[in-house]
Amino acid sequence: MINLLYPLLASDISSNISDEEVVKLYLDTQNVAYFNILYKRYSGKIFGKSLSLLKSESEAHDATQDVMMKILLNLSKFSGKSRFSTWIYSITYNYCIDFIRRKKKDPSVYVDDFIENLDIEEEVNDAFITEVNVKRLKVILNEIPSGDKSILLMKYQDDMSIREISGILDKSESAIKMQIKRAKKKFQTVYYDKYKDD
Amino acid sequence: MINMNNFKKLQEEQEEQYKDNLLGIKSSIEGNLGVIGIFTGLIETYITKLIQCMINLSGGSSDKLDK
Repeated sequence: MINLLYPLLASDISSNISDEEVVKLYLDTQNVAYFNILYKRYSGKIFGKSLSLLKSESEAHDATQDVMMKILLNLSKFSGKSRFSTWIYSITYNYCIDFIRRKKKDPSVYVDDFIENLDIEEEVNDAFITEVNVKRLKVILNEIPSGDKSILLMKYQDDMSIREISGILDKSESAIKMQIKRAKKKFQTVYYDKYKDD
Repeated sequence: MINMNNFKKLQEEQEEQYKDNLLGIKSSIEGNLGVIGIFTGLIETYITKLIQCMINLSGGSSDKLDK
């Protein structure tokens, strides 16, 4: 049973302890203080990603609550094959993408055959993407499709490898590489549309 | 090499900006955990009695199992 009666203070536990160790301690003791550590580390990040993808504070609020509950109830299924953060973010991205699909009744959040005349011969520089100031970054992320946005967040915010992204989206690594290229191009196109006069 | 990453800055800003929302979400989760805890307690308490009752109804006896 979940021990709610005598939780340790999260501050009693070293902040240097790794996520994987916290998960093990939680599973061994069912002490909610260990879950509080994970909550403190990840709830803000989950909320931010949900907000970026769902574009609504109340939906991001519900998403964070649902994702955290899902994580709590499935902690024993975390196998340790991936980083804990990757596991958490994969739950978050999949939750948000499913939510968008259901809301829009559109199964094509990620479209392989992206029918647009994007010149993807020339790859957009990473620095161009990451050095756009935060205010503009918010605007651009708000403009681009959810699929492109999530793939850029995975790459630049979560430092996920191509292999990790392909695992989350259940696609081949070459498909993911192409999708990143397209998302970067889309980002650049929106940037120039919005700020061409600067 | 990436020198500056404003995706990370955006994440930090969002975490700071929505701190208060996170407190509300935590209370909701704790509420849900409380409900789950109560149900778990009820199941732990009554499930053995329910199984025993079903065994008795089917004509068996849990005493025989012990022997």
